[in-house]
Amino acid sequence: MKRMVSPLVLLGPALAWLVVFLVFPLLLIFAFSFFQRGSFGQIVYDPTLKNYLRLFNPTVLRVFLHSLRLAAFVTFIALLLGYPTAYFIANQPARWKNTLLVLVILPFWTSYLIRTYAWIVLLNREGVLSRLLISLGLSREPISFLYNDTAILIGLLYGYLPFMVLPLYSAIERLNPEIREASFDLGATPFQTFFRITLPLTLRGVVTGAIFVFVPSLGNFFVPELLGGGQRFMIGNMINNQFLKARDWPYGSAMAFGVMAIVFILLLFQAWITRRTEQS
Amino acid sequence: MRSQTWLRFHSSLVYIFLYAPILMLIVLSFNRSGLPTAWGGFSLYWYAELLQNRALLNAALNSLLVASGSTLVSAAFGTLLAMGLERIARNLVLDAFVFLPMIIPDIVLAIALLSFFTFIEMPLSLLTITISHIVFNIAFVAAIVRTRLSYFDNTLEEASLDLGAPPLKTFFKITLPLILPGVIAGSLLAFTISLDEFVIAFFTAGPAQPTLPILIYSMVRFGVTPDVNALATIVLSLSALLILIAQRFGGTEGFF
Amino acid sequence: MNGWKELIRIENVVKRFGTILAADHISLSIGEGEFFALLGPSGCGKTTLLRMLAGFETPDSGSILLDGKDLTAVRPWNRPVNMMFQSYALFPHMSVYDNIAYGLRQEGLPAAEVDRRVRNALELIGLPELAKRKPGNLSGGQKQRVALARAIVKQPRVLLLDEPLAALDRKLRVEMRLELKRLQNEVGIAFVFVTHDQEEALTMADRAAVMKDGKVMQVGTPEELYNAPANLYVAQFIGEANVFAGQLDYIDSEWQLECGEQAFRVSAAEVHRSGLAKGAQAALVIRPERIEIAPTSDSNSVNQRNWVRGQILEIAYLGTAYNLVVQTVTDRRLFAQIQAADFSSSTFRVGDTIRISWKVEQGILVPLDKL
Repeated sequence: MKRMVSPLVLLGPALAWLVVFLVFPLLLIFAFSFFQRGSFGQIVYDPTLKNYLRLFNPTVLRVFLHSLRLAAFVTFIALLLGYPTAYFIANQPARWKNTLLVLVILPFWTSYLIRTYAWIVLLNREGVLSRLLISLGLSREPISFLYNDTAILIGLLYGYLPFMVLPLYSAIERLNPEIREASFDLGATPFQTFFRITLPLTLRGVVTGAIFVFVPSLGNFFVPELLGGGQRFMIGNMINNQFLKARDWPYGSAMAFGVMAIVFILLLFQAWITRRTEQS
Repeated sequence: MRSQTWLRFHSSLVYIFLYAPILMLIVLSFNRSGLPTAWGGFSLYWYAELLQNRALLNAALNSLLVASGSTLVSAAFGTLLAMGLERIARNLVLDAFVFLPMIIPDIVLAIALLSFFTFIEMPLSLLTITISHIVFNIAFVAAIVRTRLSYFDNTLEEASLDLGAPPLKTFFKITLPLILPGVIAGSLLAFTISLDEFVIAFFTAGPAQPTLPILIYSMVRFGVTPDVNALATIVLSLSALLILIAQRFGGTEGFF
Repeated sequence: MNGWKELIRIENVVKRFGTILAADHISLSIGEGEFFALLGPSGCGKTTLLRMLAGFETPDSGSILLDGKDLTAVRPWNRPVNMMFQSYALFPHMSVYDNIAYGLRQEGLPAAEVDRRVRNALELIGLPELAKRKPGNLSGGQKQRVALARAIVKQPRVLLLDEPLAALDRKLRVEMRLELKRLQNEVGIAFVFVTHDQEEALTMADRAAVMKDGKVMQVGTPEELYNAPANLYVAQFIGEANVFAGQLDYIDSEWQLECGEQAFRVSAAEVHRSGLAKGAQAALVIRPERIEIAPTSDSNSVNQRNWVRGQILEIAYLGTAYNLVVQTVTDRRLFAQIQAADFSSSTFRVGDTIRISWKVEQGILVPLDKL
């Protein structure tokens, strides 16, 4: 078939689409990030580095660092919850494996917005949890569990946990069980075997899963908005505000490229880990 | 084994964490009282309420239009792309490029598209949402179809050519029927994603034509109302149903 | 070969994949109705040559003619040539019937004609009751027959077969050799098949081309290849061979091959056939089954025979014959195959010293090519 269908026919439509509606828009906001906001929110084509310098003002920096910390924490908890689960699924008999895996993925394919809403119902002042505590006599008055970092953390964790389990699962599943048995046979305890054999060999899955959780957590804006009540800002909210409220698109674009820089560094790290584990 | 018991317990908790909030919503949607805490009897009252809500029905229609349009285009382009990537251009840079929309935070993609449409002075509408959704749906369809193609025996195409069917005919009689399950699975996934997608739609939608997620967002921001529970139940069930069908077509593997 | 008429002519075909020369100036002729084998180890270029005949690869230079017309520019779907694939490549989503009908439908034949020919083809392969089955529910042997029928039903000028028996288990493989031969006789189409199995090539083919590194080493009937190999490579690839290398000499009106401490007589006919002259570097090839053994005490004449003395290292019983490994006094290992009727296990035991001999005219002389 090689010579018989032109590559242009196969790759052409999709690549053209991506160039026009992905590459060009990204280049456009990259360009925007070097211009200035006019007094009516329009873009004044007057080159400047001001927008990037403004990323380093204390308020913005604090939001960046706070978002990074929160996303890192979400990732860490997702790893703690996800690894044993992936390990458990991978070691089930074949007919169960698939079902259990589908059950993990299924929520991911349903509306994240609605799943976030479910947590509002659970955590708000008049919500299920608050009432439960009152009826158990643990609290005398309604308590809101919303509008704090913990609520955001739960919301992000809830949304992105499947992203952690899937790559971990495929890494663990690929492991030859005899490698573990060999380790036991050579006298290592299960604990030693896990940290010296299983974990290093599934490191790629860990890194992939971590990136898949960390990146979208960092950029999410509706979870902080809905569960954080707009009180607790993350990067996504700032970008959102610059575009839809303050109408300072150049500044918002610069923030976006701040995020992209972080993502890029993480992907380089992942590529490095992948290369390293492939070599050994 | 003790560790097996422990793993089973841990995993059960994770599954409870994933499903309890959803199940709670579903149960509440049938609660006549509308309150999260007081059971007023089983009722379809809130579902009936939804049918009265014209804005909501409109938004649902908008969502279906966007999802259908973006699915059609991305199914065609994504399938071709998968074939191209699988057999012509095995190229890591190209791979990375194609799957870029899956990695970029959606807010970045959203503002880029908003800027772009504004820049070319294209009015925001259902069309701009559809165009935007195609950008990432191509990647999803291509990923699924590619998995299917990797099991495809290329000599089948050669056999067809050899028996006298020219390339285009070979594609429609041999290649397409055999990768069709992958195309269907990919399309169902694309449809579901498009139906539920909020962030990019939020930025690229015109003011008068919200999609369902956008409408839900505005409803949710102003607090919990019982009819949202019913709506949420419908949307969640529809997505789950589509995904389970996609799964039957051998679909969702091949992502990681 | 009576009434041999050229069907395919391959002229000076060259094909490169990167730095690998898959076809190195190949020229060949294949006759009408001929059962022709392309034989060689993997990577010798035989499959590439087959794919060039089918049209899946294009020669870098040279030409392929069918009935005197150049095929080079003809696309696979327009060539009167069909192929049976090694994996059979049956379309999994179509029934056996539809698989066989597929090629006929491409020709736009009327449905009744398609039906008649498909039924005939199913009859021919002896599987008329399987018409409605899907390929997934067929055994390996059945799949093979269906693949064959699918190609034959198009009545091509040439049927190409890529390792047609490789996917079958051993017992079935031996049966199918005869079956293929029968079918080919029946349909009268020229078969060109690729194989790495010399036994397969010898039992089925009318003629075979032995290939190595993109070159044709020799073309000939199985008997020619076995009894009159053109070079050491062919001699060793086809069948087992004991090889003595040395220099050809003519002493006392007798041809001899001097190999170090020994000299063997060579028949004048072989020297003539090989085209070698006095002083040439040559190899003497002795087939194991041409060797006779006798106890050293045997006093029979060894006139007209070459002989060496050796010690039996191994004896393996094969049912109809015994295989022996013998170490000669010059520390060379020879293989001998002795018919069971000529072998007495009480006379010959491992460790015994024996006399090995063969008739002078049964030594095959070939040029000593660099391997």
